[in-house]
Parts: sequence; structure tokens; C-alpha cells
Amino acid sequence: MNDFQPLIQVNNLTVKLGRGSNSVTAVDDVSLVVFPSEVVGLVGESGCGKSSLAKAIVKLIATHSGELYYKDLNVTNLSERKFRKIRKNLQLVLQDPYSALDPTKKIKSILKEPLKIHKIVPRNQRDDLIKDVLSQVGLTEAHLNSRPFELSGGQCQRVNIARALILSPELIICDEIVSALDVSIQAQILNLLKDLKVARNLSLLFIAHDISVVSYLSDYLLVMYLGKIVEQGPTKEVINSPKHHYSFLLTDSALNSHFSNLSQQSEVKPTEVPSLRSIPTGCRFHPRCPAATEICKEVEPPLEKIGLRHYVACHHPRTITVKNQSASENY
Amino acid sequence: MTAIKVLNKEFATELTDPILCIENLSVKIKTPEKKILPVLTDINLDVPKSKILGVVGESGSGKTMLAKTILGLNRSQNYEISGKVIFNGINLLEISAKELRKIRGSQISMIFQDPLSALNPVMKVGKQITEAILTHLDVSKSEATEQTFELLRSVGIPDPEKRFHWYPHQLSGGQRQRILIALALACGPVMLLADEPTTGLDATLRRQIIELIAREQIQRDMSVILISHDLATISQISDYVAVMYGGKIVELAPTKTIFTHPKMPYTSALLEAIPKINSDTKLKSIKGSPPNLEDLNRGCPFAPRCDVAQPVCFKINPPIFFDEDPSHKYSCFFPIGSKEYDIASEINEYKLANEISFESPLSENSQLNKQDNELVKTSEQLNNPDIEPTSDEVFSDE
Amino acid sequence: MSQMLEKQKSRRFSPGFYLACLWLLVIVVSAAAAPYIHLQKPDAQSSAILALPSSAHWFGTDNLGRDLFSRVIYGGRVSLLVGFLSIAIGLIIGGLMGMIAGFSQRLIDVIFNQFSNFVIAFPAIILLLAVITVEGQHLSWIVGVIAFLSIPVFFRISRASTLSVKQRDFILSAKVLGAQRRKILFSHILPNILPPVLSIAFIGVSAAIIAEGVLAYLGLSVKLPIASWGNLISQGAQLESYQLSADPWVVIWPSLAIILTTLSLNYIGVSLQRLFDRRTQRL
Repeated sequence: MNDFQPLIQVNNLTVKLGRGSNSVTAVDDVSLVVFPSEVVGLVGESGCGKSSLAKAIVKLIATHSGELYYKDLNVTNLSERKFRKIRKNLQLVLQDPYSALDPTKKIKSILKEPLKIHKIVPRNQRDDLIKDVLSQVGLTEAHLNSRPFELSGGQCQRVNIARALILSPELIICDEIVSALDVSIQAQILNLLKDLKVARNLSLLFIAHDISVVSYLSDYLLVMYLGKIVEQGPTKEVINSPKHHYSFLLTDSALNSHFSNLSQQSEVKPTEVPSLRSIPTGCRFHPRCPAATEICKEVEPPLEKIGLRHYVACHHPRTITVKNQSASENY
Repeated sequence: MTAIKVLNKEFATELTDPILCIENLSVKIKTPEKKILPVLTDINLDVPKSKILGVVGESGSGKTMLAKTILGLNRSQNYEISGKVIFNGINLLEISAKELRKIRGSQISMIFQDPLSALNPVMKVGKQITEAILTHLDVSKSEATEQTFELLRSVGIPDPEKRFHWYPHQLSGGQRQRILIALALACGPVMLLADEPTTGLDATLRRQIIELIAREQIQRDMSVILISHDLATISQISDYVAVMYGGKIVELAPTKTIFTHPKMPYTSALLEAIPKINSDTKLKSIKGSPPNLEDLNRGCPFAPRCDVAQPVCFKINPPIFFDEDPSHKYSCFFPIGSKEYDIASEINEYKLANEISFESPLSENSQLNKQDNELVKTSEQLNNPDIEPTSDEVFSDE
Repeated sequence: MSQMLEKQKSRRFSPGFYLACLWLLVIVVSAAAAPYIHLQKPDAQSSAILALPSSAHWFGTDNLGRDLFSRVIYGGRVSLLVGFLSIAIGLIIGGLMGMIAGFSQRLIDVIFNQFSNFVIAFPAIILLLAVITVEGQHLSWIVGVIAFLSIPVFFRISRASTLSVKQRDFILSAKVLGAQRRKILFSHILPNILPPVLSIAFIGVSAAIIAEGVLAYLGLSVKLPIASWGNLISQGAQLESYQLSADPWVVIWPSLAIILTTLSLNYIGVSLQRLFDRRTQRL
């Protein structure tokens, strides 16, 4: 497989939810790329449209405009019948571990279902494959005869991951998969994913609202705000020297989460968090941005390249690295 | 060898005069299947006055039940409650429902987890606040309205005169949470319980809400109990942190100490399991899962998941210890940083390397069994407060 | 792990539930086995008119000397058949319609909805009268009409449950895995809507049995001398008062049969509902 050919490519995707006057643009002109064996992180607060983006990539919801490529195939308008064969390469794991499992089924049949649908594995090998994938996610055969409500949240999430893995996909999209779990279990799942990524050469699109969690796993990071990507670049660069003020806000909150001195003023003006229904004019972040000027209120900044694979959409990008952060800023 | 002073189960804070004393509180719940589950076991806690006490724990730790018990929200048939909760000289568990209602809201108030369900959806938010004020304070309606505007302003709601007339569903999640805070502060309580006030809110909003609570605490000189599963949130504003696990308090210390020198292996493991944005080290996950209240063993609830657990940990619930610093209390036989911890670590590594099971009792003649028995004896002595074993007696094998 | 499994199994139905099941078992078995066990012929008239219960006639006899015990049991055959069969038909048709309507939610949903509304709006008695006048008082038509009238009930509950199950993540997951619509519908949606639909079914059966009783009272049920519980009651009600006071058992036995049966069915239905509510709440 050509390592330079992207696994999936999203070009100028726009997704609208709802109809007519009630419609909301959840994803606005978003482009992204995932290469083989790469973990791409997507961070954004809840309600920013990241789940809609995830669902659009696996064609669970319709897109309004833009293109979706799987390798070199344009799948944007591909019929469900034809896309079905590709589905085994693109899997999705969701936030609520219990809701994603049919409560009337035993784990064994839940894991068998993908094999039955795609018929790529002969019947006599299916049981072995199931046992194999179970041990990879840290579960045992004893769990096969249980039903979802008999397992804990962490265990259910492992079943979800096992089900996604069993078809040996090339990409797994993880949408807030650890947000509903306890901290100790969260660490287990994150480590599991890290191991799987290495063992199976897996690509991941890892979506979460907690930047510490996302940056732990990701090689490349995208920051999303109100339906748009505001910054993207190699994780280390974005974390250590965030150029967009929103990225800075996220990294700053995360860095200062231990004994922060509250005497330092909060950077963000106490305005309301906007929802996708009332998107501010110009740069979407301007009402909360300490560096906003007149142009920010009127003109929406485009994504511009500022480094190798590093882009930011801002009229006044930051120039200071977080590590040397002091109270004064350079505008 | 550090001198370990072993107390009986009293948890008195020498530092400040506590506003709330919880003594030997145990709460059991009766399930529909007629089982009795120990949700809280032998809680001893003094909440210091005018300080913020953070209570951190995962699922099954009992932290929400603690808050509910303090407020008397679980006085139904399904709960078996024993012990005392003393506030201003009154045992909250024993007073009548009527008296409790007077205290609730005016002296002790609570911020709940889910703003949407905690607010009345069919009542305007302003009215909900004025109603609370009028119930507890002797003021006129117009005064209550004025106070409400002031409250809304101080919690950061823009245009309070206008928002007064809004319904909860018209507000955003962050605003609803601010309304809940305003509601809790309306009657000027002396103590505030905040149960997961920032769950579901985003990182940026979380910080604002937490800072708001801290500001109000200072301005009003309130005592605050802040409950959360998120150590980061708690650490930002708490003065003290209590770590709960399986219905018990396993460590209590000033915030900085908890982070820099945790003694309980659980606390340390929890700290290492949180992903940190600027570090690359692999997360150290805790094996196993949060405790199932149905099969809590007799000993330390964390023992099944602990890397240094010894057989004694499974048999006896560790009493409360403290070292040179009396404000740092922990409940563990092998605290981090002690010689016992190093020895236990080595023992367990040896067992792991040689595939010896952690829980199975070793043979009669083994060294460890002997040490085991010594500890059992000592623990029995501990129940008699007059006897204070010397350090020699406690660990005589070394 | 095994402890958790045990916890699930000991759901604790109340003793009333088991009693109700026992009663149902008794009458269903006796109704099914009636022709094969040694009962007196239900149509056999005798000279022992309006006899009180005795060893010869366990339940006594009616005004034509027919053995009440065997009449009640044979009556059970008709009433139970009407109850179960009509509801079974209504459940299958209405349930399937609801599932399809809820799942596709397009034109078919609109059509089915309108059909269901039409049936509800239609006056039941008139339909019954019309059908029975034209086709005669045959069991099959009675079953048919009651089944037809019960379709909207099952359509509604099946559609509502389908809509709610459709929102859950495991349906999305199935789609992402590549499952076809038909597979999702029958493999995932159907087992999950079965609990609420089944509990309504039990209550529906009891309603159908009472419906038959009402029909009998109006003289529209199966023609005498074929026994049904409704028939027996209406027959008894037409006796002169002196006859009734001589032998009230003529109406008491069939009434008891209906009451106990409908109570049992309702109780089972409600218990099932409660059980499934608890299960889903736990998730």
C-alpha cells in the first residue's frame, strides 16, 4: 500500500442538520486527511459539530456539499449498496458503551454479527477469530455468554472496540469513547488503543473534548470550533505553541489544571458559549477572543499555512509558545 | 523508620474549628432484590470552616451518597443510616423533616449535577430564585427581586433584568449551571455542597464555573464541599482533598500534599492515570474495575487492584494513620514512601515473577504468614484506644 | 461475574404472578384437552334441570339439564380461542405494520398511520353488526373482526417502540458494520420492541375475551347450543328470577371463569411491563 496515499480524504465537507429554517450547519467547509498508520486527533467542545463530522465520514448522515474519498475512490455519492463493501474498512466506536450494544444479544453474537454480514471469514474460523480479538482487547472467553448489562462500562467499551476490530479495518473513528468512563478505566482504554495502533498498524480518528486525552494518542491534531477547523498541525506543535487563541485556551486550561493561581485573570471574557444556531459574524471566536479587533468581527479568516502541515485560521495568530507563557501578550 | 502514631477512628482536624463533623457514618442501601449494599462505611470527616474541601472518587466511591446523607435526602425506607452528622451542634440525622427543611437552602445548600433536571422547567428562572429567598428570608417581594438581580449579576449572567424572565430551556448549559449556583447562594448559606458542578461542561466553561465558586466562597466566607470525579477540577480551588474509594475515605490531606506526596497507592495510581498534556509518558492504568458494592471484601476496598496489596490488606480494613503531619491522614498499611511500601513492592514483584497468586493464603510456615499474624494482633489492639503500639511491635520482623 | 448473573435472575415476581400463570395453565390445558378427557357431553340434555352442584354434576346443570362443568370447559375453548387467536392476528399484522412504519418513516409511515386512524375511528359495534348480519354468527368472523379492531393498538405500540429503539447507538453501529435494513429490522429492532408489545398483548387477550362476552350478551356471538363463557352468562341472565334464585350457579361459574381469566391476563401483562421497565432503566 502506498504510504503517501491518504486513507480517507475529506474535502470542503459541509453537513447541515434539520430542515428549512430549523437547519443548522454542523460542519462548515471542513477538510481533513488521515494517512495509514496515523492517529489524527480532533478536539472541540461539545456542540461544535465533531460528532456530525464523524457520522458524515462513515456516511451515516447525508452531506450537503463537499467530497469524501476513500483511498482514490470518490465515495461521496456512492450508493449504500456499493459502499457497504467499503464499510468493513471504516469503523466507528461511540461514546455510550451500553447504548451501542443490543441488550437482547449475547456478546458472542454481537461479535459474530460483522463476520456474518461481510462473510470474509469462513464459518469454521469465526470462533477463533472472536477469541483472538477478545484477548487483544483484554477480555476473556467467559464474557462471551454475558449480555451487555452484565458488564461494566469499561468492559462494554472493550466489546465495542473488539467489534470494530474484528473486520480488521484500516481506520477506526473514536467519538468520545472514554468520556463516559472513570479515570482509571479511561487510562486502560487509552493504553489499549496505543497498543493496538502499534500491533495492527491501525489508523485512528480520535475525537474528544479533552485536549489532554486527545494529545496523548494523536500524531496530528485538529482543533474545531463551531463547525470549523480553526487550527491543525502536528500535535506537539499545536500543544506547545498554539497559534489560534482558542487552541491556546484549551491548552492553557489543561496545563494549569493543577494548583492554578486564581489571582491570574481568566483569559476568556465571560460571555455565553454560542451554539451552532447563533454563529457570530466574521471569525466565530471573536466574542470570546482577547485579541479580537474590528476585522475579526467582519471577515472570517481562512485557513492559512504557517508551518509544515500546520495551518491556522486567525487574523492575529499568537506568536508565543505556551512553555514561556507570561501575562503579557504580543499583539 | 518513621514513627507511626495510630489513632482510633477519630478524625479531628487540629487546624480549624470544623463546621461539620461526620462521625462513624455508615449508609446501607436495600436493593429491590432484597440485597443490602454498603454504600458508605465508617466515614469520619471534619469539614473545616471557611475552606474548600474537595471530595474525589470514581464510581462506587459513595461521594454523592455522602452529600445526600448530609442534606438528609435519603431518609426513606430503603436506606439504613447509622452514625452522626453534626452541624452547629445539631445531629442532622436525627432532627425532624421540618427542621431539616429550614436548614436546607438557608444554611446548607447544594448544587446538583444536572442543571436541566434540577431546575423547574415550567417556572421562570428568576422566580425560582426569588421563591427560595422568600421561603427562608424575611424580606419583601421587591427586595427579593432586587437580590435576585444582584445574584444573577454576580454569577455572570448578562442582562439579569431580562434573563430573569427566561425559562431554563432558553438558557445554555453554562448559564443553567450559573443559575443553579445563584439558587444555592440565594439565602446566604454557611455551607455549600457542590456535586459535580462542572460535569458536562467544556474545559473553558469548567474553569469559569470553578472560579466563580471560589470567588463566592471567599466573598461570603462559606465552607464548601466540592465533589467530583475530576482531580484537576478539585485541585484548582480546594484547600483540602478527601479521596474516597468503595464507600470509605482512604486519604485526606491539603491539596498540594495530595499531589506531591500521596500516601495511599490508589491516590498515586489515580494521579498517574490522568493524561497530562505536556508529557509523553505512558499512562499507568489501574488494573481491574471500580468496586462492585456487592462483593466488597472485609479488608481495604482497593486491595484487589493494588500493586502492593498484601494478604493482610484483604482481611483487615486499615485504620486511619497519620505521620508527622497530622493534617495528612490515610488508610493504608503500606503507604507510599515508607519502608513497608518498598518491602511490599518487592514481595509483590517477586510473586508476579514467580506467578504466585496474590490472594491465596501462603503456607503455614512462611515468613509472610507470620508477619500477617503479627499485624492481625496489632490491629485488634488498636481498637482499644489506651494502647499505642510502638513501632517495634508493629513491624517486628524487620 | 456469576453473582451479577444471579442478581438478574432473581427478579422476584410476586406470588400473584405465579398464581395467575397457574390459572391460565389450568384453563388452557383443560380447554385443549376437553375432547379427550372424560367429560359429560356439553350438549346432552337431561332431566336434572337446574340442579345444584353434586357429585354427578360438579357444577350443577342448567335449565335444560346440561352439565355445567363441561359447558364451562367447552365454553373456555371458544372464549380462549377468540381471545388468543384474534390478538395473535392483530399483533402480527399491527406489530409488523408499526415496525415498518417506524423504521422507514416515509410515505409508508403516513399511509399506515392513516389506516390505523381509520380503524380506530370506525364504530366497532356497527362493523360487528354488519359483518355478522351478512356472514352469519361464525367463529371465524368474530375472530376476524376483533383482530381487525385490535390492529391499531399494536400498530401504535410497535411504532412508538420502534422509533425509540431506532435512536439507540446499536442501530447506528449495525449500520456502520454494513447490515442491511431488513437485517437491522428483524434482528435488532424486533427483539427490542417485543417486551412492551407482548405485555400489551396479554392485556389485549383479556379485552378480547370480554369483547366476546359483550357480543354474546347482544346475541351476536356463536349460536347456541355452542357454549362460550359469554353465551353461558347471557343464557343464565335470561332465566326467570325464580330459576336463578333456585340455581344461581348457572351464571356464577361462567362469570368466575371470565373474571379469573381476565384478572390473570391483566396481572401477567402488568408484571411483564414492570419487569421490562426495570430492565431498561438499569441500562
